[in-house]
Amino acid sequence: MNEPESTVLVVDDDDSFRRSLERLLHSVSLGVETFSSAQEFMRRPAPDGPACLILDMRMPGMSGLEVQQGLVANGQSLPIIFLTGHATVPMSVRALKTGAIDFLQKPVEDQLLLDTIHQALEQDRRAKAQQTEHARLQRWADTLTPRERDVFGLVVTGLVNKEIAAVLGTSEKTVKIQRGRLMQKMHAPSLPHLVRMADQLGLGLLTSKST
Amino acid sequence: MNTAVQEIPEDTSWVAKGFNRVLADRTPRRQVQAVLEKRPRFETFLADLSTAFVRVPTIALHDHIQDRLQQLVTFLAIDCITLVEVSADQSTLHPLYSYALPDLPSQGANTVEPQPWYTATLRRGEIVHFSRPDELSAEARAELASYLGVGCRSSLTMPLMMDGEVQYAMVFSSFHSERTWPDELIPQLRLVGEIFANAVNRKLSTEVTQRLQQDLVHVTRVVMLGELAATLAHELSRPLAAILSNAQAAHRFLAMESPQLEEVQEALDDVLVDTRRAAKLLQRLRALAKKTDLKRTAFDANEMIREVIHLVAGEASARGISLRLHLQDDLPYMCGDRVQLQQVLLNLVLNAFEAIADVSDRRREVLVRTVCELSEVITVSVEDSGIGLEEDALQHIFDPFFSTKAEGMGMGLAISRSIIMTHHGRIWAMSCPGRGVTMSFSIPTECKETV
Repeated sequence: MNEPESTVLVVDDDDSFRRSLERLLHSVSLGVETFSSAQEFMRRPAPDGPACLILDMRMPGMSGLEVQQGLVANGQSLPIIFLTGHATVPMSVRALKTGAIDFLQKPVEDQLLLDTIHQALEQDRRAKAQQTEHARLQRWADTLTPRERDVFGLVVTGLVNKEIAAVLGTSEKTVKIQRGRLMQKMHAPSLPHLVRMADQLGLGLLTSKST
Repeated sequence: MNTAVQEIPEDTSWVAKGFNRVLADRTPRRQVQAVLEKRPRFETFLADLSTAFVRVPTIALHDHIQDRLQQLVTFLAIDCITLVEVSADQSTLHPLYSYALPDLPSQGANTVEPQPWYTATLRRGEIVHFSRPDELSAEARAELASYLGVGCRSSLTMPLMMDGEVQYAMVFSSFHSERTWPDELIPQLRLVGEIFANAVNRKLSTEVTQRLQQDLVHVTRVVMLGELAATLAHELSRPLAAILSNAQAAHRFLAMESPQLEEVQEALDDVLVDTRRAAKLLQRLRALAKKTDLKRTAFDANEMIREVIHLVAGEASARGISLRLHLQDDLPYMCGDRVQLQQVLLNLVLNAFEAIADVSDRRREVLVRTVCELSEVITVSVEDSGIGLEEDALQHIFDPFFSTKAEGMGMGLAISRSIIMTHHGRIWAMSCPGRGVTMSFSIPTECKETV
């Protein structure tokens, strides 16, 4: 799990706590970057590798919740662990609803914190891999002609070429050619692969609605 | 049962007659003569007694009552006088003050046995008296057994009214000889008793007021603590969190195959720093939570202010408030109860925070100033950049239960003012509507009692 590129980002206005957390994370060979304010953190470009954010709830300037809302608004999916000295129930509910991994109270036991960090990093690693995969599929899908896209939608619902031809009002032969091109462009070795891709692209759902 | 209800006669000749009778009953002629010569002194004694009690400050009343009781024993040539409290819901009498001639056996004045007949009789306003114990009913003798057992031969107990109720009684007892209690003497004893009861009542009610005031200060302190609890929890969690992480990191560095002692050393250094930080916070908390009497000392006002500011700094930054200090250098020492004055300042600062909570069109700013005028008083002001107060509200700002806050109890400023008053200081509010409020208090610089 300790991939070299994974980073724990810590935003807390308490110098001494930042230092202690940095030391703790170093002791388990986790990469750490610390920030003394939300503003300082927001200036940093989004990390490439798996990362997670440890956020203090109450900070001067911009609060933890505001940082979270800012990230969500920017479409950033960085997992957030809130760590705070005093948490009210409404606060924690709000944070968790907006997608925080967890809401921990200071002082926090190292094992609990490290487990939560690993969970967050794992989630981010998976999310990032998924994003990469999705982006590639989307790139391929963008090369399809409108007609190939129609065939794609119908093929994955389990229709055979003849039935597709009937639906589209064309010949079975034309459908066969279009289907061949589609498989090629999508780098799909088999029908089940194509079905899974449709799923990831959200195509299956669309088609099932239209039929 | 020897009880009688007595009224004060309008004719004042009873004073002389009463004394003649008393003295005739128990003393040889020579002594009668001697005391008769002292007679004019009785009016003087009464007048002196009542004016003295009025003039004496409450704080000195206790000693004064005791001294005057001794004088009364001498003056009436009696052996023992005890002033007792008759409580409305108990059947025991609670002795408050007593003076007995030194050669008397220690008497059962401190008895806590219930005396239902005795107390009920007194509460009805009836005098209990006997010249010889055998004049008493069996019931009365049983109740007064401990009293009679130590040698009381004659006694009169005078119930004393206060606010339309019998609250006290004065017990006149004779141990050396039997004596009678002539009717003429009764009003005189009642008058003396009432003067004493008034003084005792004043002393007790002042004590109650003071206790209430202390309780109230304590209560607000607790309320304020409640408001601050969130901030303090946050403040305290910081060093604790750092200590925990440092200690656990140190563990891990030690447990490594090649322990990293340098890291451990650094972690331990930080643990020390944060432990001290936490301890300091606790100290402040304790000082705030403590319920104490007024403790006047000379202290550095600026330092006191910085401590309060330190307490609320977290709250200020969480609310996006800029908290500024303009403290005059080289201030003379302020004189007063440091904790209580801190309380006042804390209250003013928290009020200022509330006042600017809704400000959005300008900076949220609170400015705390100290100024020393003529080196006699130090003025501390708290200025906020809120919307200010109307003249109307400003007039009532120190009234109890007056509040401009939705959830305010309206006690903060009322208590602040009472604290400042006990410090011989002044507290006031100024406001330009639309431009915030300035709350100020000034406290003398010199402690006359302690310096």
